[in-house]
Amino acid sequence: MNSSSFQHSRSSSGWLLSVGTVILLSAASALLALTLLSGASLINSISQLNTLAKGPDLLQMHTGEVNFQKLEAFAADHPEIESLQISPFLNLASDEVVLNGQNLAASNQDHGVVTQNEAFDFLLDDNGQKPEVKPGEIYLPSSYKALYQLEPGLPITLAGQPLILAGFVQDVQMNSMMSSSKRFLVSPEDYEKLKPDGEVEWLIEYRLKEGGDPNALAQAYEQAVLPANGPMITGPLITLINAISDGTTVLVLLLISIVVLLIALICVHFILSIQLTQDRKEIGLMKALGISRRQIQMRFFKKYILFSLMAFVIGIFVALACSSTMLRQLQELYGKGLQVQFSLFWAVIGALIPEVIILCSLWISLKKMDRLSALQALFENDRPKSRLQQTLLVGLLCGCCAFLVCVPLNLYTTLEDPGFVRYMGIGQSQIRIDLRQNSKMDSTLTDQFSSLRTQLQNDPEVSRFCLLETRRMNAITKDGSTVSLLVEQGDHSVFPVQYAKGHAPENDQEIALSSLNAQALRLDVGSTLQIDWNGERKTMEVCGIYADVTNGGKTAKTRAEDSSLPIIWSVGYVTLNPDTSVKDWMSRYQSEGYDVIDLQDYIQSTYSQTLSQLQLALRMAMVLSAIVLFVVLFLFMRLLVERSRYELSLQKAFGLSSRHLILSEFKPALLTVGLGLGAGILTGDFGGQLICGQILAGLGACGFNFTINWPFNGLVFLILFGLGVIALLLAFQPITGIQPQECCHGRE
Amino acid sequence: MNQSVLQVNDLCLRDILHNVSFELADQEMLAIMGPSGSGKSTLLYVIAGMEKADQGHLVFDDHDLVELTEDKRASLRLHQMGFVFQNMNMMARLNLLDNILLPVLETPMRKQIDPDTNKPFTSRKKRRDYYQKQASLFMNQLEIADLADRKINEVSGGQLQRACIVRALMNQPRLLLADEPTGALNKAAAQDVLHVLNTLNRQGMTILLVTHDRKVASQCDRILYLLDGQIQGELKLGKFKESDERAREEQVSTWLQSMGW
Repeated sequence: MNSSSFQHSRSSSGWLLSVGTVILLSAASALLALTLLSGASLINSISQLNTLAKGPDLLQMHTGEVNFQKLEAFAADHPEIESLQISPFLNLASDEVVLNGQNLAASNQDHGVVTQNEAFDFLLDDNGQKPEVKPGEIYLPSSYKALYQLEPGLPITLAGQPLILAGFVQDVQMNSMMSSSKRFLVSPEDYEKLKPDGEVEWLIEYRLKEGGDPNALAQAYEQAVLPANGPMITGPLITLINAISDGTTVLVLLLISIVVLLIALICVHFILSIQLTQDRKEIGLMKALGISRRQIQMRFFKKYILFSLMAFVIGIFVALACSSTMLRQLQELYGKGLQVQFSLFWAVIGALIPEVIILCSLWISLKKMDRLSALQALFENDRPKSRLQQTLLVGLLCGCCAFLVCVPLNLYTTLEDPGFVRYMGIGQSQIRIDLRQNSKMDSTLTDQFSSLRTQLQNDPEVSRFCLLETRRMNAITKDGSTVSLLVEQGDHSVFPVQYAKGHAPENDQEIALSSLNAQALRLDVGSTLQIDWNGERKTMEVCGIYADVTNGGKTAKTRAEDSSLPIIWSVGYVTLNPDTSVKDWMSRYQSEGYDVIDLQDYIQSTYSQTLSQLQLALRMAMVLSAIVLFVVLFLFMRLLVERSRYELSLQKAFGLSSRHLILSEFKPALLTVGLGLGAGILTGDFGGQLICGQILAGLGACGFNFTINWPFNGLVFLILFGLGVIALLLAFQPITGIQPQECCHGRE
Repeated sequence: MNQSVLQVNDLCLRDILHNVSFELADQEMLAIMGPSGSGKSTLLYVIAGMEKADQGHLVFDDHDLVELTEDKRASLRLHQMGFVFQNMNMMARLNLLDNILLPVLETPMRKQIDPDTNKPFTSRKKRRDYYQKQASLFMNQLEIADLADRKINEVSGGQLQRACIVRALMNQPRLLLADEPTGALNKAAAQDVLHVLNTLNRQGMTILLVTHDRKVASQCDRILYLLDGQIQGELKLGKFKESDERAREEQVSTWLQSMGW
């Protein structure tokens, strides 16, 4: 009996199987290790910065007169307050800021010049220290380093005043690009020089003692009617905003890890089941000889322990190697991350978990061998796995690989899409114009507002516009307490936001709430809400619930305007006629002093951090998916060729050619791959949308839908399909080497 | 003949075996014959512990196999019995020597005593070397020593079955069980194997074999006839002498005819 070719092919297949198994297990370990490492680093970095910088528990921004005594009295009345700090934030017009020759006129950020705080809320350098700023020097936010490609030593001009970039600072409050303000640190001397060129906004900050509740303090502050014509932010919200920027990527990584672990589990079980089938008679013989079940199980299990060990080590190394790229942005923004030993700890835990899961599941599978008696194994033929079962398995694996790419791809596309503004409580328009409170009285803002309305109404290049004013109003909750709402007032039907339920306010009795506000107030469409309106208590009906991930997500919208209350800010949204040059139009209005931004640029800059991290995760997912798809398909099909060797040899003995046999295997396999990938893409599009929607709903983005870029999805399909074709061709190639006479020597 | 090695009492298994009872004496060579479907192979597997009887008693080495768990039966089979299969059941990926050593190398070292120290082996290499020497002795005895490195497809059927017998002897069993040991062999090879079994028996090995071959059965001390799962008859022949070969064969034929076969 000449079965040397068979033996050789079995041994070479065995080697391939081993390598493939280690690759899959390593991928699972590396990914989860990287996820845990990134997550732990993120939490640690933010927490560390918060501790070192002594971040505020409550911040209220205010432009105009500040009654210091009243604020101090408030602090004295609240024993939970540890410290009060009122520091100036010198707002400069964006076009007054030039970084190494780049004018920031197009930036949507508010740029403010500050000096180092005395009591808390420090701006820290890379070493976690308060930098000593000399006259002529400036420290910029660390997020600007990559954004504007800056290095220390470059010239910076603020309102015509030249400064030298001395370094970068981490700002516990305003690090994230999702925060709309940025602080530039200068010396007190330079601050005084710049003062005439800007508008002072006050940062009224509180630090609480251990156990103090920032939300309770926020409520008390509002009720005390203290200076509050700007945004109010609590410490937990600052942490959340910081976490979202970079945490999104960690979540995507976690999703990818879970999918890859699932793929690895399926593959390893399949390989094991094939092996047990091939070794059935051997197992039967060993049982017949009296070798213990445990001993027999260990023969197979030992190999997987070795694979797991290798994968564990490789996983740790890969995770640590990739983590530097993943965490670079984190470290720039929040300072040094985890210490080496903690990084190693999380990498080890992350690499260990998949291996333990896989080994436990394999052990359970191996125990099924107990059901097989010696005699059954020796004398009965194994029922071959149905082709349908195998086909479904291959299809499922292809689907998982496609899913792996689709979810981060769709998330990226959605965040990048101009339509994403609808989840930010903003309607989808082309341009946004901000009118801000300044130190010259409220009436000026009202005048600006009126003159802008007239200008836009008479502008032939404007297709549609709306102007909205935001005021702080008191609402009465179900339990009778008062809460402060940021209510945006005006015609919301021009550029509607994303409504999960109901619609925009259509009359003066209606109010729409953001989803987080509706949850907090326990209200739904159709409920009523009492608001202090123009000195009276007005009952309004909740007409809609919309998505808003900004400002803590707690906003409201009415059509009616209560002009008795001061405007905190006004904003205009504009869409131009199709033939109009957006750039020229924006320049015209900017030259008149308006703060104008292209909405697409607005989203890009707000989510720039998140997008850059997502892009990294997406690239990783694509590479991983491609490798896994190729390896898995190749291994599976090789195995199937091995199992069918006798039948293939028999068919060759009948006279069928290698080409015919390859095609007859290739065609159904290709169909399976195509259908599997297609199903995976669709599941990634719609199933992934469901998963992401659930997570984002918690942040206020209710009614979340992916913006699916179908051409991109198609490209993903084509690339993966192409790889699948190559894998299949390589896998079926050994069919040419099968000899017709192999079958004549009996089954192996 | 000496004390019993095996006592079978009222053994029942589904509708295959019905109240089978017999004893196997020490150093006896007993054959079980019967037509196809009589349950003779099943009886052998039950005795080997590969199947569990529903009722009855099967006492071997002071253990009633009917009461034992699968693991305990396996352990008894590994350490106290040797089994020779009709179709040999060797592993194609191993050479002859490795196939022969399989049972001893798969046994946990703590259960194997190093004769030099009288304690369990502590070194795998030392254990392998020891058993390799043991195997060589048996292989020499069975004239297959020079085939140690051959693959199983590079030796004849008779040589392979002799290797199977060596494998069965590696753990120094008290009882050798053989299921149609010559069934898959040609006449010459069958003769070879039969000669080996006889030699082993003369050296003191207790053998229980299942066969449909009159020649094989005629060289045993005793034959039991199994029909429809029940022992229908018994023929005592006594120890085999080559000079009696022909007469014994005729005696067996006549007896089988009387049994209705």
